Amino acid sequence: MNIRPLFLLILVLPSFVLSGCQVNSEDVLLAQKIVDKNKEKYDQYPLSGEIIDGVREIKISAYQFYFEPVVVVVNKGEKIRLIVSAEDVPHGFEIEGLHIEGYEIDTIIRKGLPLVLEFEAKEEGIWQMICTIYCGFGHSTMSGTFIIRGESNGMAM
Amino acid sequence: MKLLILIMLAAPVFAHSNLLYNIDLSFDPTMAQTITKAAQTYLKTAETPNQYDYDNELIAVKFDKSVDYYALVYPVDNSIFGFRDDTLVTTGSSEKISKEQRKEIANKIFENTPQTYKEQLRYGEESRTYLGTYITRYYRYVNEIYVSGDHLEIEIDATDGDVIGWRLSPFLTPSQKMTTNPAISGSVAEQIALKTYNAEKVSFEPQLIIIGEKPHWIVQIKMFYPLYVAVNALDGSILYFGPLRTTMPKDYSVGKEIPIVPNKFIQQLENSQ
Repeated sequence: MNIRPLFLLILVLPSFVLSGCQVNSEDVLLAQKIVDKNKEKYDQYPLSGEIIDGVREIKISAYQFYFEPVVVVVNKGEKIRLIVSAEDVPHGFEIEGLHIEGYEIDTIIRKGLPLVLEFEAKEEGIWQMICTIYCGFGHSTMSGTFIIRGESNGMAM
Repeated sequence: MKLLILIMLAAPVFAHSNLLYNIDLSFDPTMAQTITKAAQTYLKTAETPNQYDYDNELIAVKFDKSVDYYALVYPVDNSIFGFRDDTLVTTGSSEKISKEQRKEIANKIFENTPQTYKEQLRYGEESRTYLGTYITRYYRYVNEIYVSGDHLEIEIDATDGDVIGWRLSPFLTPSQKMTTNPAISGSVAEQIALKTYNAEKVSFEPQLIIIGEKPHWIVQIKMFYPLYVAVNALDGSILYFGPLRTTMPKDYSVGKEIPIVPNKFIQQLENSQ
């Protein structure tokens, strides 16, 4: 039996397999540039609200169908006071994925009766602010961004 | 450098607030009245609703506390986008309606769907529920790409062929507003996810879907266990990570064949040092 073709196949086959597994270095480089650029985008936002007696106080207005400000930025480790007011119809409020002790996310915020939330910004990251109470057609588009900026970004107060 | 965990949700389509139960419509009594009337007409009832639920811009007008019995109303024009009647579920009996017969029943509902929706829907699959009923799904495609969350589903009782319910997504984003060509490849999207979460690679071919107006790559990575990451295919930002937040058509495999069209943002990065 002629084993030469089989021998050649055994020699050549691994190179085909390995080439399929290798990642394109250009893809890796572009991906890194994209990650860095997207991170930079959030570093440019100024801190929100003002410091009152050691607490960063931020007023957030809820309208059909947006929050103002739409981006909220705080520093990690700060004590935060959010004052969320409904400016037209009843709204709800949640920073999705961020647990605030003692706060029920189905709390209804009515016009003239703002919600006050106090917590410590413990975890660095970016979250979405959403409305949790049906406020009309367009409710699903109502969102904002909540950023807790870490010291690693060199943006501490 | 500390790992910055990006839990950014660029578009709210996957916020849990898209399903809300027992909503209060007192802030808009006119809307409450018109959608109630629409539901009563469709279900041929004069009963007063006992509850309203919210389902991705549709309002479920409910009439029975003990079982699900409701009509889904689109509040923009009060048209009906579905209904459900759990009293039609037959339990404890053998299945008499064949798969082909169920497909025929589902197809009748599909054929009655408005043309603008029908032309974007494709048959997906049938699956059996824990109740013993069968759900047939038709998924929305634009330029050969699945639009996340948009589908028609029909639930059929396999004992007597009753349609227990059906639901059509309202296609909130018109196809003309969608960008379907990605600016980055699935491989780049996968690398973005791996770098962002400092994760391990998993053997999974990135899939392209449309979320909202934009194409997104769905990739899989492994931290302690495999997780999905939705990467915006236009700017590489992360929409979400974790469990898959949509029902994917069975055997869906779209990605490599869709031409990549780099935009200005990506071109600038490609050309930068």
